[in-house]
Amino acid sequence: MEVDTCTAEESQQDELQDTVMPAHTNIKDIKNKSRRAKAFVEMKREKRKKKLQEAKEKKKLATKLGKNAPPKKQPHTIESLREKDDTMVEEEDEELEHEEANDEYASYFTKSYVPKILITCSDNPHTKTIAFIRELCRIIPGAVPKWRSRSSIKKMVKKATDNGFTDILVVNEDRRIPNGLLVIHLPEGPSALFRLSNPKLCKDIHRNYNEITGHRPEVILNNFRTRLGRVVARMLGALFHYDPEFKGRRVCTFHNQRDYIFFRHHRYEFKNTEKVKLRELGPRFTLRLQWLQQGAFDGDYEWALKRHEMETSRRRFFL
Amino acid sequence: MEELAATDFNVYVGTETGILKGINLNQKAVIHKNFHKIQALDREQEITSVAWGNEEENEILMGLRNQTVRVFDTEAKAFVSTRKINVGEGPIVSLGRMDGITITAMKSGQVTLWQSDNAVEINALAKGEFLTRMRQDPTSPSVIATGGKESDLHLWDFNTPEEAIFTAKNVKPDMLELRVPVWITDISFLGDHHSIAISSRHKHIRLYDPKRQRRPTISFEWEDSPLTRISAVPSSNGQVVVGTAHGRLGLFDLRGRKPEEPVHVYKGFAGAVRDVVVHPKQPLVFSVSLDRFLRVHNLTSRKLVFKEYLKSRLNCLLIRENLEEMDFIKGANTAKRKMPTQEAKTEAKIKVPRANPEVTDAEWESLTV
Repeated sequence: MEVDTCTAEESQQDELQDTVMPAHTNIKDIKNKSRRAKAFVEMKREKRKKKLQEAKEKKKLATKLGKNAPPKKQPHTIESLREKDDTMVEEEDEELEHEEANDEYASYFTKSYVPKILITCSDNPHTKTIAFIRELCRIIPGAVPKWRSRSSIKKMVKKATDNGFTDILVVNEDRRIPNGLLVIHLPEGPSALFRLSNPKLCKDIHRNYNEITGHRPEVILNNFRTRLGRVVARMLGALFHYDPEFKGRRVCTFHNQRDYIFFRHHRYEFKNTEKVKLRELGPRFTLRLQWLQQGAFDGDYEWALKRHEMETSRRRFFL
Repeated sequence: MEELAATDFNVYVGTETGILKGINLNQKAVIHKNFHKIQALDREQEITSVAWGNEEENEILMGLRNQTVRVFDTEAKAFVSTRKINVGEGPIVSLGRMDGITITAMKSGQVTLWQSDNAVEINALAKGEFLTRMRQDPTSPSVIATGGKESDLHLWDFNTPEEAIFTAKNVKPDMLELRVPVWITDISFLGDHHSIAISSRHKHIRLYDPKRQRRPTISFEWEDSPLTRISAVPSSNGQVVVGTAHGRLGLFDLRGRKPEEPVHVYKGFAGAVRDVVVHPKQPLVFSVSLDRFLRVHNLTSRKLVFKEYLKSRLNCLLIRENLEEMDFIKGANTAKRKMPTQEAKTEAKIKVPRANPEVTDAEWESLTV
């Protein structure tokens, strides 16, 4: 006991004797400006040195281990940090498969009808909208453009069903630029409204529309992961003929990223087993879902975007 | 745990794909189960309505699109019987029960009481396009109310099936002298035993008092969206919960000073509200919607207590009366780890006035004597 207390006292005395200037752990606590700046530069240099050293070692290790090297860390993005969604579709879901086998699009996916699409627009369309409709008709096989001529959508739904159409596309315009796309599946829905933005025609991206051949295109529906996204993807996919002509090497892509659906249109060419040559044909545009309704423009809403109620987080997506 | 939970489902949900789901809102976890073999179903077997088959709540009646009534036994967890009824056309709109006898209402307007010896039939659709809803008066079960597209509110009595007891008269034409269209989507008998509230596809909420007049005593519009469901709050006199096709749910006080202003709006919906039930004993609002979620809100604090993704589009909803609140709220609390639910729980506790009046009465008497 006694010995212990002695040593403790001694050490205390030692500390008292060697009083030194306090070592600054925090640079911002240094009062003198020039010294603070100097310390900061020093700290930066140290940090950088350390970082470079680490990178070097990592590289060395990777070359040394070859295939067994530790995997590269993925950077965080808004998408990789996406909020968990209950409705995310899992593989091998019996209930979902059953529902999809019995829904309105089941007959398209069993290839029992060829889609016939009516494309129209709001009344008195202007140059850009007309050109946009023209290009849509070039992309979608079996599409028929029609003037709206003051007809109501409900009437149009009835008439189009009688005339054997399977879908209606209505392009809306504002300030002479197309800004909305309404997709209605016939005869009994669903229907969806998309906001259309950044429409770029073939001419705008310096392409000639003659490059678009009359072959039936392939369709790629990319990254639709929730239950709602799945419905939307089926809806967009069912606008095209189910049997693509691979000879034409034409491909239409609907790529979903953060709830924005990007449409691109390409022709591809396999140079060899690794390399693929892509040529964009145009047009390109972006869609964003506003609502999804159960019936053919008449019925309850399966999903409706409520901006302030639903958009509570930057990392929350619905498709 | 699994077995214990499976013995007691407290919420049942009928879906558009035809699956009946039982949900147990439990302390530990939420368990839901499908009672069907999925492969055997098709679109014609969509469950359009559900009702309890007896007082003990161990039998569920399910009305299907293809005019079939199916009975599910909750004790045995099996389908006991099916009965195909060939009356009229279209799906079964609503189901009811009187002294253990089933009542069915078809879209084409036939309301039938299936007695063993002879069935009593009411043709509830003298004019109009189709029937959308039939509801029974909870206080006198032989009285039913019907309504549909272009068919205004009618009250019928099974003792006198030939003629309606009460037929509503449409409101006066609007400021342009145009007729106001009728399309009743749901009917609800209020807690004061004599008035009836309806919701319509043309956005109207109306209150009828059959003893007083044929026109509605209160009529107003809410929001720019068709109304899909209306349900009375059992513990109050004039409160109703109304759901819309855009996914809004509001509580209205039809006896209050400003009936057209919602008292509360319950949030969190993405799709149309398909069915709403306010629990008879607890201050909880249960709702199912087209976005495939079951949601439970607190009636007074309007907090979302609980929600669950159920994979199919949901059509109708049944709740056990003896649902124990404490159980349930705790379950939601642990499952979702939400702070608001705790708050809701305390509020709910304060808001339960059932047990108190008796005690206070007795005390009061003892004090006064």
